[in-house]
Amino acid sequence: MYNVLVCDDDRDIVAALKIYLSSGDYQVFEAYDGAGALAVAAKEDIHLVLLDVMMPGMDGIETLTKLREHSNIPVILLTAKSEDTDKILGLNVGADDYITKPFNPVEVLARVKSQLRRYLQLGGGAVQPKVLRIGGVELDDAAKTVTVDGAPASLTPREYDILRLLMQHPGTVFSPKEIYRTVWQEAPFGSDNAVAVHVRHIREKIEINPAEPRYLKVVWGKGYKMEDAKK
Amino acid sequence: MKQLLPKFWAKFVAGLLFVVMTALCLAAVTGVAVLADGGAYADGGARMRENALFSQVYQNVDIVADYYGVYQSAQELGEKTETLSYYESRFAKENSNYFFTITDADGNVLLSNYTDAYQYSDATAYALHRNPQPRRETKTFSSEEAMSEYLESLYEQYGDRDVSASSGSIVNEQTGEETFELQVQYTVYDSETVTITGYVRSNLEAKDEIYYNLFWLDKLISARNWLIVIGASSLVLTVALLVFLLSSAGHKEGEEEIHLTWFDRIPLDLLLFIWICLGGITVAMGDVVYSQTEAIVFALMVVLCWVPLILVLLMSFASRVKAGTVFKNNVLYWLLTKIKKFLLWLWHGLCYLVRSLPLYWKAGVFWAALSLLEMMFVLVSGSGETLTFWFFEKLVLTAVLILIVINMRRLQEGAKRIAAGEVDYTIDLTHMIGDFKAHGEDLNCIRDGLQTAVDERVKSERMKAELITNVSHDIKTPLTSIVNYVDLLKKEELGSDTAREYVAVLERQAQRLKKLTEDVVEASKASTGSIPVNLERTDLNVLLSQAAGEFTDRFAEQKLELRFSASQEQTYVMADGRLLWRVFSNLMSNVGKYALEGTRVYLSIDVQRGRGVISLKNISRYPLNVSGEELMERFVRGDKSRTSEGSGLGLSIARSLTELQGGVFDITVDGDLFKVTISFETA
Repeated sequence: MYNVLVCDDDRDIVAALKIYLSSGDYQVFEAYDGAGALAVAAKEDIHLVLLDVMMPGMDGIETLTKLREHSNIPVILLTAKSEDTDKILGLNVGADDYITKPFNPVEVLARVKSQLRRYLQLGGGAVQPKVLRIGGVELDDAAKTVTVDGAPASLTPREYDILRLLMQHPGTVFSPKEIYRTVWQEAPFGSDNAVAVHVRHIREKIEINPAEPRYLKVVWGKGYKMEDAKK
Repeated sequence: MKQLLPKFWAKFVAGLLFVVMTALCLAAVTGVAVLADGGAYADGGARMRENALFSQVYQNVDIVADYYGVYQSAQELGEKTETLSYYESRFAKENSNYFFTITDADGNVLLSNYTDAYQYSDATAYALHRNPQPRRETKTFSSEEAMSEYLESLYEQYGDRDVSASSGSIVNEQTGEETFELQVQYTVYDSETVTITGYVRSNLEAKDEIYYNLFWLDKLISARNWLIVIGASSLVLTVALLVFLLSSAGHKEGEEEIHLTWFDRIPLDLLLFIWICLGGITVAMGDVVYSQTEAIVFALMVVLCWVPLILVLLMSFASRVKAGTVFKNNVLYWLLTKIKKFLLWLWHGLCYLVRSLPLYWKAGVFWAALSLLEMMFVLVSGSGETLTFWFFEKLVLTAVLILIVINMRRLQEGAKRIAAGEVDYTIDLTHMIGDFKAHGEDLNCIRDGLQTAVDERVKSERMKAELITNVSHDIKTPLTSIVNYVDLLKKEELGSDTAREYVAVLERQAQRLKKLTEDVVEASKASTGSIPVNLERTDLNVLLSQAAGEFTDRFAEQKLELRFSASQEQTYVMADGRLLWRVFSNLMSNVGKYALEGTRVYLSIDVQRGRGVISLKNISRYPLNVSGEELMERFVRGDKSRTSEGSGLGLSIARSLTELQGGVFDITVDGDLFKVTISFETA
C-alpha cells in the first residue's frame, strides 16, 4: 500500500486519477493547488506525487522546487505543454518523469508503478559487476536477462545484443551500419532497415511509451543511443 | 555505283587511273597544240617538216665554219690534227645525213664532206676571221663627247668582245683646259667571206640527230588526228573519274556520316600554303633543266607528282564541303574567332567596369574627361582672360559636383539598404543640402512606415501563434477529463449495446480532438516559423531507414509492403533530423491511414542535379478528387466527407516543416497514385 499525492486544479481530473489509482492498490491523497500539495506532503508519509504544472497561484514548477528542499520522493509532472523545453525544465528542477495531457490512464498507472519500484524496491542498491544499468533498465550479462524497473523484459538474442552494445557505451550514438556490423558480424546491405525495426521492437519492450522513449533515443539521421532522460 | 563510293580499293584504282588519264590528256593536248601551231592540220605537216630541216641545217653552220678553220690550220701545218679527225668522222657519209659545201666568192669549192641527192638545202654567207693582229693606240680628245663617239665607232667595227679601252682626263695647269686621253686595244683580223651551203640527204641512211628528229616528227604528224581523239576521250574519262572521286571523298565503308581523315583535319589554309610552297620548289627545280630530254623527263615527273597532289587536295576539299568544315577548319578562322572572342571579352569587361563603378568614379571619370576636352579647346582657341575665367568656373563646378555626388551616394546607399529589408537603417542627413535633404527625409519616412508595418506583422503573427497555443492548452485540460471518464465509463456496467456503441463514438471523437489540438499547435508553429531549427549535415539514407523501421510493423499490420531503396552513395543534406522525422512521421502515418490494403509503398532516395530527392509513393484507398496543391492546404483531406480519422493538417505541417529546413515539398496525384517528393540541396 503506497501513498500517492495527486495535485491538479481540475477536480475532475483528480477524481478520475483517484479512481484509477485506488483500483491499483494505492492510497490517494488529493490537493488542488501548490500550497495544499506541500501541506499534505509535509503531514503524510507520501511515496509519490502526481503534480500538475499549470495551476493558479503557485504553479507546479514552484511547488516542486519547494518540495525538493526536504524531500526526495518521486514526482511525476502532468503538463498540457508538449514542447521539449517544458519537459527539460521540469526534469531539471527535479521531476522524475512527466506525462503530457491529455494522458492515457494506463500510461499513468505504468509510470507510477515504475517510479515507485525504482524508489522503494531498487533504491539505487549496489550494482553487481557485469550488470549494466541505465535508469530503470538493467542488463545482467551473466544471466543474459534484462529487467525494466525490476520487471523482466523478454528480448530476442539480436535485440539483447543491440541493447547490450548501446548500454555498454551510454550516450554514444551508434549508426545503424555500426550496429549491424557489430551485432550481425556481417557487412551491412544497402537499403536494409533491420536495425531500425529491431530498435523499434526493443523500445516497445523497455519503454512505457515507445513513441516518446526515455532511454533508447533515436538520433534522427545519425543512429541510436541509450541514455537516462533524467540526467 | 553508290555502293562503290565508300570502297577503298575503288578509290585507289580510280585515283591511279586518274593520274594516268591526266598525264595522257596533257600529253595529247600538248601534241595537238604543237601540231596546230606548226600548221600541221592545214598542210599535212609540210611546213613543220621544212622548219625542222631548216633548224637542223642552220644549227650546223657554225660547226662547219669551225671545221673549216681547223681544216685550214691543218693544211698550213701539213699534218692532221685530232680535232680534224673528229670532224671528218662526224661529217662522214655513214654518220651524217647532213652534207655541206663551202665555196668562196668565185664559186670554188673550198671544203665539202660529200655530195648526194638532197631534199633540203640552205646557203648562208659566212665571214671568216683569220690572222689576229693586236692593235694599240692612244688618242687625245678635246671633249668627252668626241671621245665616246670614237669609241662607239670602234665597237661597231670590231665588236664588243675585241675592244678594250681605258680613258683619263688631263688638266693643263696654265690654261686650265681639260683634255681627254683614250687608250684602246683591239684585234684586227684578215677577213674572208665564204658561202656555206648545207644539205639534208634525201634518203636518211645515217642514224643521226636529223634522222631521229624527222622520224619522231613524222610519227607525230601522222598521228595528228588520233591525238585529237585520244585527247578528247582521255579528257572525258578524266572528268568522269574526277566526279567519281569527288563524290566518294569523305565516305568510308561502314559509316553513314562523313568521315574526316587526319588529313582532312589539317587547317585548309595551312594545307594550301604547304602546296604553294611545294609549287615554288617545283618551279625552282625547273631552272636547272637544260636539254630537251631533261625537259621531257622533268615534265613527266611534275605531272606524276602534281596530279596526285592536286587530286588529294581536291578530294579533301570535297570532304570538307560535305562535312561543312571548309570555313571553320582554317588557321585564319581560328585566329579570327579568337580575336572576336577577345574583343567581346574586352567589350563586356568595359561594360561591366562602367556598370559596377561606384557613382563617385563614374562622375569623376566623366567630369575629368569633359574638363580635359574643354581645356584643350580653350587652350587652342581662347585668350588669357577666357582661360582664367574657365579655370575658376571649373573650380566652382567641381566643388558643386563633389557635393552633389556625395549626397546622391548617401541617398542611393540608404535606399538600397532599406529596399534590402534593413528597416532600422536611418539615412544620415547632416551636411545635406536642399532638395537632397528633403528627399532623404522622405526616404526616412518611408522606412519608418515600413518598420512599423513589419513590426506589427511580426507581432500579430506571434500573437496568433500564442493564441492558438494557449487555446489548445486550455482545451487539453477538459479533454483529459473527457478521455479519462470515457475510459471509466467503458468499464462500468452499461445497460445496452447502444450505450456501449455511444461510448465508443465518444472515445473515438475524444482521440480525434486530442490529435487535432496537437496538430493545430504544430501547424501554427511550423507556418509561423517559431520552431527552433537546428540544421546539421544529415545522412538521408540513415534517417529514412530509421523512419522506415519505425513504421514497418504498423504497415505489416495493414498488409502494406514498404519498399525502401536508399541511394547508392551517402547522401548528406543540411536538415534538422528531428523535424525531418516529424515530416516523415506525418507522411507515413498518412500512408497507414489512406493507403489501399495489400499494395506496395515505395520510399526512395536519389541524387538529381545536386539535390537529394526523397519520394514516397502509395496507392490511395479512396479516389483522390483533389489536386496535390489543394491537399497541402490546411484542413483538406482526400475524402471530402471527413469520415476518417486525422485532422487534415498532416500534409500542411509536413510542408511547413520541410520549408523551414530549406527543402522543397511537392505532392503529385495521378489517378490513385499519391506521390510526395521532398528535396534538399546536398551538403
